[in-house]
Amino acid sequence: MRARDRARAKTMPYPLRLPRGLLELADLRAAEERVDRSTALRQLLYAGAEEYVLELLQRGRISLSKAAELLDRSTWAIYELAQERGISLGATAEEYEEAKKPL
Amino acid sequence: MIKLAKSGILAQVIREWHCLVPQAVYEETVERGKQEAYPDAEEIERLVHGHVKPLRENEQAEAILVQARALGRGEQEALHLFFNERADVIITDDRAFLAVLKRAGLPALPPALALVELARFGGIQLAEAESALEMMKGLIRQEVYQLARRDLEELRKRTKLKGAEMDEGERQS
Repeated sequence: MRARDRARAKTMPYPLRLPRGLLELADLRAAEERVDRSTALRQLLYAGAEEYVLELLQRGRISLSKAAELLDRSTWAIYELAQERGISLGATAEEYEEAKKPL
Repeated sequence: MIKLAKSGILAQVIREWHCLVPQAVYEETVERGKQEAYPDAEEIERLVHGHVKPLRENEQAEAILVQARALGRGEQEALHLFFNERADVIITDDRAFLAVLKRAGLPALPPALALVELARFGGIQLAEAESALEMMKGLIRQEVYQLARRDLEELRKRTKLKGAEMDEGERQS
């Protein structure tokens, strides 16, 4: 499978009504980044998805492996994203102490 | 696995505790890591060679995972592997996974605690554990770093005390 086909296989069409302001923002981004409107919209959506996935990961609502799957990134990249945003991942003090009990 | 590798004690953990790595964790860490040119991925590949286990489904794991949609393939396979190999503990620093393991009453070991325990049982020298913890510092919560540091300091004090008692015993005999 060629790279373009592989990328297509990972996406699917979805009908969506968008606020006009968001479309205008996408057009602004499209001009800034020299991409088409759909690509700009996907980039904006992805940026929001990244934030939300990291928030869920930090709160322990999803796992690292799940976060990587959802964003189609490696676990290394997830760590990097978290570090860039100053987000602490991993066990809390309570979870650390809890893990000591059966030892 | 990334945290243990970055702190330089993955080799010791694997050697001392006969650690096994689920295939999915290997794929997402080593294979995907190499694709994305993370240099540590190659080092991990070398260290875990011969310790990677392909998925063999386990009913006990399945029963737990029915309720655990927050986990990815890596954690799911780790649970299957835990039951199939009748392992003692799962090393993970993942909060979602830790919560699932806690609910199921299964033992877990965050990497910071793993290095403390490894030092306690003599798998690594105390100084080595302290240095590993410093390398792990940026990858774990500050509060956990402080707790692990405190545990290593206590271990150092106890080791000194034990050494002094042995010296005293030798002098008396």
